[in-house]
Amino acid sequence: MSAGSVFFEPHVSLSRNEKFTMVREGSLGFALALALGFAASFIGKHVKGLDPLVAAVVLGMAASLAINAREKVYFKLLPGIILAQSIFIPIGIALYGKNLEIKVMLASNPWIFLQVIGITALTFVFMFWLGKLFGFNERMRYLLGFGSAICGASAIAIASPILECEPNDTATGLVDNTIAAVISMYLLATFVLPHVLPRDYAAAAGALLHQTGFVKMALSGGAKSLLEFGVVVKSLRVVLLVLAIPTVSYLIRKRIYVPWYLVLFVVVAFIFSYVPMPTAFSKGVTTFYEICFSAALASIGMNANILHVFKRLFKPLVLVMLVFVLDLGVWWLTRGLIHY
Amino acid sequence: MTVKTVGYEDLMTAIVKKQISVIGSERAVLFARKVPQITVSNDGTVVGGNKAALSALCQQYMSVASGVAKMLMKSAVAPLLNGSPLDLPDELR
Repeated sequence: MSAGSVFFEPHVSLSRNEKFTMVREGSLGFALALALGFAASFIGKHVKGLDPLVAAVVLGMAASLAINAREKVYFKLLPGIILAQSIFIPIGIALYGKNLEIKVMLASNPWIFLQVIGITALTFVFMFWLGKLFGFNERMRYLLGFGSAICGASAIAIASPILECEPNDTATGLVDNTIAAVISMYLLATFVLPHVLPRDYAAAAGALLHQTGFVKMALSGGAKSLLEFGVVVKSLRVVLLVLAIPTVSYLIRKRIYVPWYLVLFVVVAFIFSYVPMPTAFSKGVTTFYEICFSAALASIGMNANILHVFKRLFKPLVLVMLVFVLDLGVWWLTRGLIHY
Repeated sequence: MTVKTVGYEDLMTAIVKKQISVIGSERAVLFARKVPQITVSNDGTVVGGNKAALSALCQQYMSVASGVAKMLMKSAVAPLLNGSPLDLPDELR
């Protein structure tokens, strides 16, 4: 590894005038992104199973139809759309650390954690090699890998700026991830649930389903302890973000890239894991990061082309489902080794 | 181990790729292709050009989002400039 191969994002200094120009030019687009973020967060709370991030990107793409109809309007809004991404993505990622349950991870059965690590690593490998056969570029393969291996929509939102994916790819990844989660939940309920013990099923849901919301939906009909167990298994996958981001970043850039907000993400995780927080404050932080993330995703959606995204949803969806089936096979083969 | 010297091509490639990740390849490449003396591939790789071309490329992106574009471009080239003696145009200072 050469000198300087580990780096933090350098600080970019702007003069007071430049900052003022940025705020003046960006206010309109920024306000629009924020409004869409609020709307997505609201929709996400009222539509069962719909992640607010997915709602945000779809709302952003819908807004882009109106914005792009007149080039003058698009260019008037563009500075603010970019500004919203630059500000909200780091805030959203840093505060997402709240979901990293370090205490839970340390208290979990090491064999389950090992199984989760194995499935996560294999998901990236399957996605990388099969994605190559499907003709996807390297960044898209990793993006879909994050969505399937780690924590669905949130992982895609976090990985997208680090992988520097195109808005169309990010939007495709988010929509496909949600469709895949719905299909996978159905497959697990139909083909796995009748053949395994309830706790094994909870472990499968936590280890394999793409989004935490779907893990909760899959286990909502059973005992509360099973739901909690499934979410714990899922949270073990979220922890792996901390390893997956620098690793994938190294594979792409040949340098270990540690964005400053990933450091904050870990700091926030430790604070929320070990410092007692009033429930109201914790809920407030969740709402705040959800709106930040949603506003960022809405701004990504506004730079994506909705027709382009919906036209090419099928191929990545097939890939994601294929990898899910392979992961299910790995889980099935290794479940006998673990006492859940 | 040989150390590759950073050139204007590398800086322009980093800028175009950063813009692709924010505004999409269609628009980002379209703007970049308006700059004379350089060839831009669909993935954002730039071939050719000098300090004047780099300056023209920055102006292209700043014509639509001046302040934010400048911030993005500076952050795109910053990792490449560590200790580099390359003379930068005013847009990136």
